[in-house]
Amino acid sequence: MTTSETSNTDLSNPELKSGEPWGRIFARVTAAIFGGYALTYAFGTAAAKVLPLQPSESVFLISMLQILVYVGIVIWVFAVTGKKAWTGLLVMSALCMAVALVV
Amino acid sequence: MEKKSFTQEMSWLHTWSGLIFGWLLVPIFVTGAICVFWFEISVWARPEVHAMRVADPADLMEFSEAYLKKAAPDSRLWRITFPATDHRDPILTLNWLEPDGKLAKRTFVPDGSGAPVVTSTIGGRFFVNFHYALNILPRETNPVGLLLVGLASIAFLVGVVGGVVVHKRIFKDFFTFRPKAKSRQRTWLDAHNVLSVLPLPFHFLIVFTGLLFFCYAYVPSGIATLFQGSESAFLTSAATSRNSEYGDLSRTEPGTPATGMPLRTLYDSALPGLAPEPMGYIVVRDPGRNNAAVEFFGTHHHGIYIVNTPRVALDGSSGEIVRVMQGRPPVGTAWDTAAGLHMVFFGGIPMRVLYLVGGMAGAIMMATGQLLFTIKRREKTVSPSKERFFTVVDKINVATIAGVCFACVAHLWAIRLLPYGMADRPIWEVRMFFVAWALAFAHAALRPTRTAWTEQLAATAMLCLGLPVLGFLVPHSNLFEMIARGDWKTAGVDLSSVGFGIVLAMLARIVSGKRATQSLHKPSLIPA
Amino acid sequence: MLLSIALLATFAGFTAICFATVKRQRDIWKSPLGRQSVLALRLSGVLLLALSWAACAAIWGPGMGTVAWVCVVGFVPIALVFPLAYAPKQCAFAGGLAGALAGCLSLIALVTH
Repeated sequence: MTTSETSNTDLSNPELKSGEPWGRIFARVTAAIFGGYALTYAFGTAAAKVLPLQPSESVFLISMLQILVYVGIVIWVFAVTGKKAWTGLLVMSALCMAVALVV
Repeated sequence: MEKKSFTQEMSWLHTWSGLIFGWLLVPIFVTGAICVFWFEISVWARPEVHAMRVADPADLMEFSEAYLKKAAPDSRLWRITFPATDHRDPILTLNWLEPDGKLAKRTFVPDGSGAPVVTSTIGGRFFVNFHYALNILPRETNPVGLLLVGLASIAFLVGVVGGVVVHKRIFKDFFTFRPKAKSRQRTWLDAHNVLSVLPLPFHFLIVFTGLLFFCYAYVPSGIATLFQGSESAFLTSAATSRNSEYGDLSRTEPGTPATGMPLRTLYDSALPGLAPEPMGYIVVRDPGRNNAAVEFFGTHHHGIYIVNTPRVALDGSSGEIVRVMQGRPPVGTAWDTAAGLHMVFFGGIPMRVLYLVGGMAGAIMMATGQLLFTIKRREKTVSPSKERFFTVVDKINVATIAGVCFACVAHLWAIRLLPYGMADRPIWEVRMFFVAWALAFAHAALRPTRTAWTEQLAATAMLCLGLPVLGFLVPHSNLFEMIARGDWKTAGVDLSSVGFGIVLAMLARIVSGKRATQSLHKPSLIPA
Repeated sequence: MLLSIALLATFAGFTAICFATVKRQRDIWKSPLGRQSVLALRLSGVLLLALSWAACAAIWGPGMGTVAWVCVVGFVPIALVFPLAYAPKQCAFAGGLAGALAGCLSLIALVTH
């Protein structure tokens, strides 16, 4: 075997986040799951108002986009720090709802 | 330790969401792989339709119309679903709408004799119900199962992204598997990579299209805004499946009684519009009235679609063609293609075998990830409290990986063994799945981990190998007889079961450590 | 038969690509191969994968065939990688054999069609 034993991934790093407090993990997971759901919902509502397609086409397109949006949000929530995640989610949801109400 | 790199965050997410949602995703993948052959299992479960001649739709139409005229002359809606000509689902199903709004259902053998299908069984349908909603049904009133499966699928997609970020040299290392590596973790990680990397496009496709299938129901903001929250209004507007506007009762009041054209005559004028598909099913709105509408739907075996089937609507009293529909607007078509890719109604048996292998390989890929979790952590010094946690993880792994396979086969045993005259037979068939799964959890909790793996794999293997034997207790289900009459699709259920049994028996032997010792140069790949 | 062409060609194609890496060459030969041999291996690997796509497309048409091919290319190599760790020489031999078989079967398929 010529390859070194630790070559191919970071998964063999020392235990990541072993010191992470449970509160912060909880905040993040809830932000990702529930905050993400809320923002996805708000995004869908705004898009439904904006898209100029026939209604059934709109629903299909929005629903498909929502999946990608949700995946994106989950990754984003874990990529930034906890507080920023919640603030960002709230701001963006508010923006989407504003669009939905105005249009 | 305040700010961690993106890679580290993704690594943490991959590990933990993989572990937690893997416990859901492995059973979802296993049942999903099985329900590729959902119809075949349904036939396998009903001895009276084995190897029966499938009559032409034209001949079945007369019987169906006569039956419905007698059974439900005043119903506002009839539906006739013809046995598939490819023997996939060889059952004639008649539905009609009762005055109380419920849909009545009668099923018949496909040879045109009018004999009813008598076996009361869930067939292969349970695997579908579990696969998309964890059998928490109906999803319209209780969407918990649907949402959990959706969330797990999102976790899978996130996990895939995380895995790609974490594992940088992804393709370079593809051919690397080091069974003789010093650390057991390295070997398992290699295996996990090998099973993840090249199948990734397929797994991504299968999970993503799975999410697209019910995309409108997970986050129903579009339906809430544009259809006042009514999913059926949306489905009717999108003209999906049986929700065509010609079958929409809210659009019309029943007209005055009239003698319409016989379905047989309408069928002859509708058939050319259905090409290339053969006849799938018919929906008749307001039969026997002067406003009767009849819509003929093709099957979905000749293209990657499930509801975008060709359809022809006719005026029931004049027999004029009202609309020939082939294709839908672009987004609806895109959705339908995705749904078709997920359901594999296309491509015949070879394609479905590929999907079956793909699903099982996905389950194994995730299982290697689950195992890696504790294997990796045990290679360092472990505190007693962590060790307790790892033991619990190990036990849940046994029950969600080996245990769910055990429960699936136990369910098939129940389908064969429960008395045919039993009340609520389908419900008991499903209960046996959950009883068997609960037993697997209890067994895993009580036995040492390695013993639990061995025993559950061995028990599953024995059930798999024994399944064809049960066919000898049931009419027309003797394996040799089925093969002799060329009924390969039904025999295939038993034969695949034997195949899985052999693989599982080999796995059980490897896990038990009796064979692996010399070849792998270490005590065992599974912790004791 | 077309499906077996697809499976065999994929197996052979991945064997060729695999043995185009220096790491794998050390498993069976004393010294790494020359540049031209490596290029030839890579090229034949790609061609064999193309052949496997062609076989899938011949069965199902280009659209469905591609779906099937994604599946085949995803899972057949698993049958190569695990044995490779235990018996590299035999794997190389099996890959060559699979390639030859796929070639012969394709010729037969072309002639009979």
